[in-house]
Amino acid sequence: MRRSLSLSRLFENVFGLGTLLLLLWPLAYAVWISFTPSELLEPPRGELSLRWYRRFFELPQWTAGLWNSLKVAGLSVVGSLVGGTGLAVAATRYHFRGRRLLSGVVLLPLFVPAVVLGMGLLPWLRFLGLWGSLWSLAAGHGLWSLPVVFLVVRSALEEVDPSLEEAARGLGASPFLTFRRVTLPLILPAVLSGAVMGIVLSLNEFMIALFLATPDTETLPKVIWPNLRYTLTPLVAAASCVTMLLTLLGLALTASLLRVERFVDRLVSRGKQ
Amino acid sequence: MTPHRSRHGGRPYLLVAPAVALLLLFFVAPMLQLVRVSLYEGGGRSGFGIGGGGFYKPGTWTLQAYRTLLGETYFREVLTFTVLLGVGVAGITLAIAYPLSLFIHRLPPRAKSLALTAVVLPKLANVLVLIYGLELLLSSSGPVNGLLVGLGAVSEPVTLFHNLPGVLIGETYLILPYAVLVLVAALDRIDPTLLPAARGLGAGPLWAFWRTTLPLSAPGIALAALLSLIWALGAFIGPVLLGSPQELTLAVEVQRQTFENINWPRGAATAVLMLVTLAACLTLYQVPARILRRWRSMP
Repeated sequence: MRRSLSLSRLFENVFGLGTLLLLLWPLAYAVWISFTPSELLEPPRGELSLRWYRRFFELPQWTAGLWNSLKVAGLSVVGSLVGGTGLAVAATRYHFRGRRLLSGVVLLPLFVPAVVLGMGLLPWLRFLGLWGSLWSLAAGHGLWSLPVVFLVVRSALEEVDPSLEEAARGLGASPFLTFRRVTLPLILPAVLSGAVMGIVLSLNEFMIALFLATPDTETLPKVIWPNLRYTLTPLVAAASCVTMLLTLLGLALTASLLRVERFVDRLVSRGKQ
Repeated sequence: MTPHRSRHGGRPYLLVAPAVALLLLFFVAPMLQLVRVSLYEGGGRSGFGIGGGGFYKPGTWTLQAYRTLLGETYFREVLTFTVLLGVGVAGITLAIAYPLSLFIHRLPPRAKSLALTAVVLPKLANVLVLIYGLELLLSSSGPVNGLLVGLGAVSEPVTLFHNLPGVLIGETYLILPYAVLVLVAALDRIDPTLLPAARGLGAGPLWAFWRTTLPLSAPGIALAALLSLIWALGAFIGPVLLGSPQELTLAVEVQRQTFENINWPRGAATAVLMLVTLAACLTLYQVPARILRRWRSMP
């Protein structure tokens, strides 16, 4: 009995660790290959080389793609932060007609296949005259970051003790001042992590870009796409390592910002004692 | 969930205005435009982006695109394949995600957050790169085939992509992290004293699991299956990069009609029918979901 139990435990651990490793493997392998000195898609033997990274920054089409990706991510996240945070505050702090409906509709884009969104956005943005500008891509990516920011900020707002805001209002602060000095500092971590999630989504998004990008507005995934289909070079691996590095930098930056903030908090509260 | 009572007075029009504007302008309007385009008469001329127009005949109203699609065996085959693929991927995803989630759920806190990071990490990378890594993993000289041949399971390397197994593996790989996150959250919500209690009352490990953990995590299973199904029905990257021309899904068909065939009404009609399929699958899904939910309240 006991032996069979430990045997099943062993099996479970092997399965669990094995699956986790399998999940990480494609990613790790792509990173590894991006350092190859060879012309072909093969893992580096012996020394590592940065030649494919140098190549990446030498090719104007690829660096332009990277710039476009960053601009689109920035534009879409600004819109989603304003829209998502506003909606989250309204949904948790006010009663108004359509509150439930709006909280549901904002999540809908997450459940509509990206192809369908792209197919609808393409004729509509051409009609609006936005097609061919980075705004069109930002609009498409905003459809995903808006619900993400909304969800994250809403759950943070539900945690905030309402008596803090009541106290500020009771002491004569305007609703806006209350939000800026009491609520916003408390939900800032959530707002920041929502923003980072939105940026990550946008940097790696591919379907909407496939439908909306024009030669002037290609984002990096759109530049990678034909290369992946027809010619395989280690350049693709290097390019995606660059995006991943940016993503990780963003995450690290957010984490350290939050830590600095907590540190300041602690200093302030200690000073008061 | 319940909002605090209205303390600020007034109505939050200014607060919701940006979100409402964004949703109306970039979600509701494009969806209406999608339906409108699907009702045009097709008049495909090439010249994408040059001079504009020519993707449909303006001013026409016709059900032509739908009639053509629904009358075709080709379209019906694509539709059937998409649905079967969606159900298959959702099933495989759950079959792997549930034991994996159980494993992660039982880990000590530090190892658990490490494991969850490992699950989420691929989602921070470019999808295209993941597929590319997957291709290398599955190639005939790759480690999977090496293992299979080494174990004597097969005598010579098997082809694992540019065919159906490739599509299944790819889509499962892309959807698995979401399912694991949902399932681990559901398992963590279960009262941790129940399983030891069942064991203490004399239930064997399997029986205790069967009567406590599994039924209590049933709502999580139902949600994870639903999300997997929704995403799998929109499968595009897996079929294009890891499949062959035989593995055509509706999503691939929409893109091909729009950019290769330059027949926007047909592309739009396919997209609308894709949404209808999604809605139909969700409705049908209520039956197994209800059984799963009822299981929880079983005596």
